[in-house]
Amino acid sequence: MESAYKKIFWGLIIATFSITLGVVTIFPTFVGWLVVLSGVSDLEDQFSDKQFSTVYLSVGALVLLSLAEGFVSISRLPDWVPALPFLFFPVFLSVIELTAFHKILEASADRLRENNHFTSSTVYNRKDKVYLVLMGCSLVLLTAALTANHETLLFFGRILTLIPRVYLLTIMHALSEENLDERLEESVPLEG
Amino acid sequence: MKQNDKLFKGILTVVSMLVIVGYGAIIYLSLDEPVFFRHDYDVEIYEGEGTYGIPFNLNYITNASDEREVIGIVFPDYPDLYFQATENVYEGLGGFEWDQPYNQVRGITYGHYTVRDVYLEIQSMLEIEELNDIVLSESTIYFSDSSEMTVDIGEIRLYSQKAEGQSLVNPYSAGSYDGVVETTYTINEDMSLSFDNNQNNELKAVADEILVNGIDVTDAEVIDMNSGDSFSVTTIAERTDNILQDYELKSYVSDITYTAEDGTENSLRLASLSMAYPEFNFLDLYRYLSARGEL
Repeated sequence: MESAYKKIFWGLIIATFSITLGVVTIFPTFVGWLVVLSGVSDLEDQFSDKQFSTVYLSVGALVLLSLAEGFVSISRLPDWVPALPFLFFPVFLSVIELTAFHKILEASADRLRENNHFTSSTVYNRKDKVYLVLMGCSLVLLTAALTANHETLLFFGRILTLIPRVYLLTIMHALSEENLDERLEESVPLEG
Repeated sequence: MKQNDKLFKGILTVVSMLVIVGYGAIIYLSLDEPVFFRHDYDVEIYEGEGTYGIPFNLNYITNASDEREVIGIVFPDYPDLYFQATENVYEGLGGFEWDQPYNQVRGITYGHYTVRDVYLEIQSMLEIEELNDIVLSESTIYFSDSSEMTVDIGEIRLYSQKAEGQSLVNPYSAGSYDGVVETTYTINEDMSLSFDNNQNNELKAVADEILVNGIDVTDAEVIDMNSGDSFSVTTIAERTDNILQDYELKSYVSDITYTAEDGTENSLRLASLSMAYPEFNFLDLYRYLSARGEL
């Protein structure tokens, strides 16, 4: 299970910082999401949770959409395709990302609770809440900036979307070091 | 955790509402077709190998996402008058430059609108007498996607340089966004400039306030000058509450009389005497488009 979180962590790193060599992108965004999908697939096997089908579909959608986005950025949108429906494309991507990672964090916290890691479970629930708040703020600002087409707002909107992503990276790194399957027998449940 | 799920659903609801409102606002603000400002220009023409005009520019508003650009303009009332028209100009050269990169961003963006410049230069085989005092108004604009539109661009009045105008050389204008334009003229003969009431009225029609060498034109006395001397005319346009008036683009010339050294009275044409370019912003553009009934 720890290796699955490691895959998700590295996938997120690639998706966040597309690695380029000169003008050639070696690891484009969709490769990062593919690595995340592989990690999610490993988790799905172990969690066998209904929630994980949502996560799997969401990350799958991120792979396809980032692939399409990569093609469009190379070849431009064909003239016959209206640009307006794609105006909020970055918002849609972020909402899908939010759905996937909120569910992963929720399921991980539940698994910790099931195995009597009550303190850790509470910690990850709290981190999930912080992640939701950060993503919520960035989504609101990004949507407002795209509506107003305001350059300064757009700049800060895009910067703000990086903050929850970096926060998520720290959570995934921490989860990759947790032993979620180790069952504790004598833990005392905490309120949370 | 139920609390986190509530928060998650709340975020989805708020963002969905914002996206719907955003789409609604953008659809409402979108222009069906570009909107040309009303122009009120005096444009000088001169004779060379053919007849030419001093390059000038027309301005229009379009959606920020509009990738078309103007590639041609025809005035149906004067089909023999040929204009070079382009948005693809390197202003630093002060002339036409056709080799700009294809994807260069055109105009200045204000929210969902861009204000674009169309650079025009008259190149006609017609005699200068045939063009003098022509007023161009209705025009057919051709765009890069093969579309075209017929639009009233205001009034472009062509005038030829009069012989007396040769008394002035090197008009130099320095405009600003606060409605102040200072134009400096150099004279090439000894003269006495006087500003009587008639001249004051003509100049007053150009701007709210006119200063000659920094003195209000109504207080300016006779100015004796020698060849090579310069004098400046400053026009000050005050903003009004009428956005249609504020966003009318103006460039005038004005005639004043002077007494030459031999005592004869001549007319002096002050070219480039213009109001300042308005300062655009999204809200004022919205007000302007609403007032024009374009939204």
